[in-house]
Amino acid sequence: MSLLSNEVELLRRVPLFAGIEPGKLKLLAYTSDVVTYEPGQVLVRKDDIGDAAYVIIEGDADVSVPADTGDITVAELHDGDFFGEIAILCDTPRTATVTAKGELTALRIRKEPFFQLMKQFPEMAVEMTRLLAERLTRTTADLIEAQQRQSA
Amino acid sequence: MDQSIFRYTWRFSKRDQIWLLFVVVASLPFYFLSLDLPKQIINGPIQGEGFSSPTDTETALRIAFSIPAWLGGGGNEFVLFDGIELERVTMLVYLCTLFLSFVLINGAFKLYISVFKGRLGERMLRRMRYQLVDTLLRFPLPQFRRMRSSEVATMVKDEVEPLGGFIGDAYVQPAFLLSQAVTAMVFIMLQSVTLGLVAGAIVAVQVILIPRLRRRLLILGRQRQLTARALAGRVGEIVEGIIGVRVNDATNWERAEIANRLGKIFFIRFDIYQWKFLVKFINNLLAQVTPFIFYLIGGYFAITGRLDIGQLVAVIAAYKELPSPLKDLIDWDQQRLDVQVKYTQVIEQFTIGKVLDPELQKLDTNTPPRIDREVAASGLAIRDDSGATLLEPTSLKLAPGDAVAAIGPVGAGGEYLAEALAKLSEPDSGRILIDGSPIEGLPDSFTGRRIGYAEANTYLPQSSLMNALIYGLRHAPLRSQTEEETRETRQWLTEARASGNTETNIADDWIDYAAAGAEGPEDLLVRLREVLVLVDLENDVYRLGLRSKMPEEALGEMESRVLAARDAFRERLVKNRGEQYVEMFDPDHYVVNASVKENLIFGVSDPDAIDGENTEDLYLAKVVTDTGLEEKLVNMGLNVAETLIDLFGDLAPDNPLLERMDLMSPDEIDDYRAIVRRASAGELSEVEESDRRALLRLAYGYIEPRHRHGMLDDDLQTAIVAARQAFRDNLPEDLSGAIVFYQPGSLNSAASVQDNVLFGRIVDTYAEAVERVNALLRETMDSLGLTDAIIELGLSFDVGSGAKRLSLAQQQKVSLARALIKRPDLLVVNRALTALDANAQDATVTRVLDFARSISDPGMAVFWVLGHPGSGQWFDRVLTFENGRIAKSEERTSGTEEGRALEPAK
Repeated sequence: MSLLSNEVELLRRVPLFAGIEPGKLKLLAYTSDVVTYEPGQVLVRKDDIGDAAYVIIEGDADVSVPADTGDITVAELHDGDFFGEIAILCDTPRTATVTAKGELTALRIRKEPFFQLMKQFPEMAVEMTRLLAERLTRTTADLIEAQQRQSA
Repeated sequence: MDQSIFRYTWRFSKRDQIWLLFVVVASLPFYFLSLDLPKQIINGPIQGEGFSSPTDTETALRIAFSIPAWLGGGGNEFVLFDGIELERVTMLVYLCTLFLSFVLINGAFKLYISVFKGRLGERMLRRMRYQLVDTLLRFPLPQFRRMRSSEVATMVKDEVEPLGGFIGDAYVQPAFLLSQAVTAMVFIMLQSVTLGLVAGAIVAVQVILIPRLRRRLLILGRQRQLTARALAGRVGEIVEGIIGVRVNDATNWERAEIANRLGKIFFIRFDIYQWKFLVKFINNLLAQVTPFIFYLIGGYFAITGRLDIGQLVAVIAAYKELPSPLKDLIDWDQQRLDVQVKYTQVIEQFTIGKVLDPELQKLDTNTPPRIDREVAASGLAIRDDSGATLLEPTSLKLAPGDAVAAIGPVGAGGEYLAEALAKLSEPDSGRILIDGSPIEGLPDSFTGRRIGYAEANTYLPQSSLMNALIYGLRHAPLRSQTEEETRETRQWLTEARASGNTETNIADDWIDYAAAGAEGPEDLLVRLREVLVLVDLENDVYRLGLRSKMPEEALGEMESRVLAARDAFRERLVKNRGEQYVEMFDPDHYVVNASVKENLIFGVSDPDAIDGENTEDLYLAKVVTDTGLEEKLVNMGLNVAETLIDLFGDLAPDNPLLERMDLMSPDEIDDYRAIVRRASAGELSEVEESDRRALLRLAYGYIEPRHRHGMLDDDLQTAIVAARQAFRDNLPEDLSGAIVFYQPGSLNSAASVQDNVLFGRIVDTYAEAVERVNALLRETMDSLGLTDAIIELGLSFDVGSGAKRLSLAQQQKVSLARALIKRPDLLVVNRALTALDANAQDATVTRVLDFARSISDPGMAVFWVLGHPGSGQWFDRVLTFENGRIAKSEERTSGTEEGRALEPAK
């Protein structure tokens, strides 16, 4: 059984939450739900409107996007991975589907507590910005690389 | 109804009143004799008058009368019976026995008269109330916009109440009292004309002055009635509009408003008191002053020898008899005026220009003819109270089977046309003809059964869901339920007739099964389910049924079926590899997904069944103490409190995260902070009783998988299960029957159907557990044929006052279902589904239209004012309303999807 104290430990290992004091992480954990998924059950589906972000407590998941030839797995998620934040930050539909590979337990962080925490702890917002900027840099680099490859 | 209560009373109780007068007159001789006898007893046998020697006898039972000389009798006596001679003691016994029998006879007369008067009054009250409601039912609809429901209710209930008491006395009392007073006056006059005149003068002053003084009282009385009625109206408005009061912080304004009214009422009432006692004072004064005059003048006459002493004493004695009937008479007059005021006040409210002809609402047990040609509105124009045009002259024809939609902005005209089609508004010009007959002349028994109407805010009175749905099938008693006529039923009917009430029996079966397409009570449910599916309410009803507990009378029949369902569900769960979704109840194990309290009691309590002071909570506290669990649970509560305060204590009071705290409410944080401080200061065993209880409450609500503090180790779980056993074994007498425990293999009569079938708790930490369990549950019920029974259970759900226990969407669905179940020839839907989203509305429209087309050939006509224009595509014709007129009419011929624009109808 998942307990608050374990969840706090887990959250601390997520880079986004690393700078936040444990007491506040406990609040985040308490106001979130622990959800267990069966193998093959979908956590988030591409194009759905999202209202929560997830931290995997235990288990593995596939990230996939549908294609003409069937779903293509683009990444894998493991214990402690954090995902789904884009959809709740920008109210955009989910960008990919996440499916539990085996039995999986995740902490479902609802939009409201997440925003409350961001508001209360600027350091978390800064960390979030930094994370997103990093991702943007990487995506930009990927894009440039892809364009170069195409023109080559 | 008559303007005067006397005329009203006389009209409906002439014969009774005359009979009553007769009985009163008949009782008078006995009354007089019983007054006269004591004198005879004292003077005769006791004082010895006529019994000077022990052997003397007196004559008893002698019956003789003499005809006065002026009748030509010449003083001769006619003796009918010579009587018998009695000795002194025998005479005493005889006279006393006579006295006793007169007492009995008088008593019997009094009893008869009182009962008769009471019945007369109650009948008249019943008649009046019935007539008021009857009139109310026939009021033109616009009248209701100007009425406050609670005011009308007070009128019917309270204001006419005193009238009933008065009516029995209306004629008898004054006649009786007047005769007494006149007798006394005549007696005085016979003794001395002068004194008679004096007495007469004083009586005249009383009779003239007092009513004048009381006139002011009447005005005040009227004001009191009006202000009290308005107060009732306002209180009613507060209750109805409580949400508006709260969200606008208007409670203090309401307080001030009510206080202001109460102030007015106070001063009116106080004024009344002052006047009342002033009048009483003057009245008493006059009554007391008269003897003074008698003593003075009468004494003077006696001294001067113009009057003998005996006469004076007789006059004073007779005068003593005068004030009491006089006072009663004045009181009666006061009551008369009071009642007359009340009566007029009520009648005024119910006398309005044009109530409907009773013929239009006549009870009709026959099936009315069908609308088989057309419903035609021609040049129909509608204005509101202020004269503003709501609907410009509009024409529309609806043949059976036509489906016509009206779209356009709210208030553009479609809704007014819909109201007119349902006979809810009176057109300013133009008319509506149904198969050639003007709609206003058609009785309700035709329009109310052949036209179905649904709108968004139908008011549903408190009833079961079933009754709310079949309301539209109850037009007349169709099947008599009374097998034989008993004395009670006969009396029941006689009384109804005597009060001019309807003689229809509410206990009969009023449901028009045929109208719903059913044969009888047996297959009505099938039709109901059909309609529930049409309006998308079936699932709601099913779920209501699942959450209801089974009625006691059905327990025996349901037991085996529900237990079978429990096994079948379990099987299905296992087969679908969903065992982990439901944690089973096991008396020997802790149920992790239930709260600590649920684990301790392990049953369901029925608060109504508790007789005695020992409540469940008190007993639970005792068990927890006795089993030594208390320390552990208090400690646990303390832990929970500390954690919650640690987590939430620093948040601003308006922080939305506080809502997710559970267990503790935000405004309790400070209390618990204090409790934690006190508890941490000393030994746990020294914590004060009230603090302990508060901490225990936290522990009771704790559910490990949800709250995750990690406080339920195996030892504690075992201890709780042991306490559970103790709780059950030592259950006190007054709680037995009030708590039903969960037991494998048997039904829990206090728990809902769902809890009985699941026999466990849904493990909601599994994704989609609730949805999957519900789906499996439905499959189980369907496969076992239990769904009908559950829907029936759901239909017995009490919708609450104003159907507040249903959501707005559910209320609107009920309103539409009610219009559909009676299978009308014309269905008028007036923006009835505003609480549903566009997709749901559209789905309902298509289902209902399919039903309307399939139900008969050529089907029912439909006029639907749509909330969403998109659904227009399913109709034969779409009318676009703009500014009170049809701006566009598009026809969709079958087979082609393209709309074809037509000329706007004139």
